[in-house]
Amino acid sequence: MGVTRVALARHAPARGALGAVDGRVVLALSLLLGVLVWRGGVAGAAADAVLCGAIVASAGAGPGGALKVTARHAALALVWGAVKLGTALAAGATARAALEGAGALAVRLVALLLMGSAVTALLTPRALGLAAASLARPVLGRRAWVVALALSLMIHSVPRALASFEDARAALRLRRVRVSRLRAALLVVQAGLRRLAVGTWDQSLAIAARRLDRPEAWVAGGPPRARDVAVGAVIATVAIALAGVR
Amino acid sequence: MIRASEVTFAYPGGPSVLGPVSFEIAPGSLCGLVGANGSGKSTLLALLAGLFVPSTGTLTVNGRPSPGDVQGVRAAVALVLQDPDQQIVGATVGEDLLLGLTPRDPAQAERALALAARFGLGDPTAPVQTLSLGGRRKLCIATALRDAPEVLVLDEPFAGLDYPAGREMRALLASNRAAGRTQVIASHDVEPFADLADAWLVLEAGRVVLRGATDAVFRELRAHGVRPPTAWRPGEPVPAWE
Repeated sequence: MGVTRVALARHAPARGALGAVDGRVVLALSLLLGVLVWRGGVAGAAADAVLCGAIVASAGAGPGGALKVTARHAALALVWGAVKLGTALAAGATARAALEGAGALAVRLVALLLMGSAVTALLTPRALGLAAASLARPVLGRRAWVVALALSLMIHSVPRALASFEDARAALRLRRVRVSRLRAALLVVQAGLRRLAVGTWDQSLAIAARRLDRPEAWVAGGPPRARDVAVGAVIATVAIALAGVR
Repeated sequence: MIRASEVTFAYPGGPSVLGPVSFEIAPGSLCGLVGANGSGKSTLLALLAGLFVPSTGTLTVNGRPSPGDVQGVRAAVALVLQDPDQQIVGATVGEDLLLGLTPRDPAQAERALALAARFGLGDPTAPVQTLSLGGRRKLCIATALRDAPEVLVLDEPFAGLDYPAGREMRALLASNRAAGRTQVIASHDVEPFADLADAWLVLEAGRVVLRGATDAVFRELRAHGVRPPTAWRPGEPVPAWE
């Protein structure tokens, strides 16, 4: 149970009215949008991406922060778009069809990634877990808390995981270790994973110590507010209409 | 009363890492559980909190035996780990404090927030990363005390704290003691709370090697890898750390 001296970048709760939206509405809406983005038209997916980018900006990141997030997602989407383009061309598709397919994939990926960013910007790990438990309860019954705890811990642990790898990188720099880039990367992964493994055990104990490993700890209070449901319904209607736009 | 009777613990498939240990901790007392690194303090704390179950022997917390009524032990004992960042799961002070409470009972939430105010934790909407290490540890203790546990178990509560935060921690321990709550404090350093403890358990290589009152235990402490307080003199009370 060692002391962690690294200041962790924790989740910052969304500011203002957006931060007060019921997690169940946000999660249900994101599931609907996810299906629409993947199955609907590309223009609709692009519109959804803009909407999610705006949410990320309003939830605390600001326009500059939202643009940075979008650029990061776009870079990843472009890589997969290029892979799709290459495989389509190799399979004998025309250049136009291959480009259209790759472009559509890239737009959809950016929209989905921005949606994930918007959800995590709006909801704290705990709120997301509670929402997941509520939505999963009809299917999983009393075991829905397991999904909630897993989801909360996954998001809670992202900054810790990043800090573990950053610590390992910093240690290599401090010790002026002269190794090849490949060897350095392997050392960082190895040291980071070792730290994570130790942390995971301690984290399990911490969760058990707080008695969060039981269904009663993951029950949301009351039904969502009418205002949140109404806002969600409006957004869902607009998204369904946009999904028809090709 | 906490009573350990020939308790041992081994991880599944592994050798014994603790025990056999036998001891008693009086109700309402503050017991210092000390030992060098790797002596078995954290394992014993996890057993006391019902997170581990003895491989052999029995640990009883106010009449609840482990093995037997482990859930009862878990409900009666609150454990605060050394690293608050592992124990804090909420994004804000308020969210973390209310974790696991029944959402349909606003009175519970009110009591919890009043506790936070008493601990000087400030605005419940404040993100937890804005708290100092001492503040984060106080939040962990507040969440532990929220459910009014019979026993509070703290792992290295003074580690990394500066002088003002250390004083606040001492005040917390003293107020718990005045309220009659049983406390067990694990540490490799007795200095910050030597004058507060009523009794001591000293562990070495998974065994209890010393137990008893302050003066008798401190006379032999060095031999077991723990330094007595610098201001302590045999036969005299421990001077206040303040």
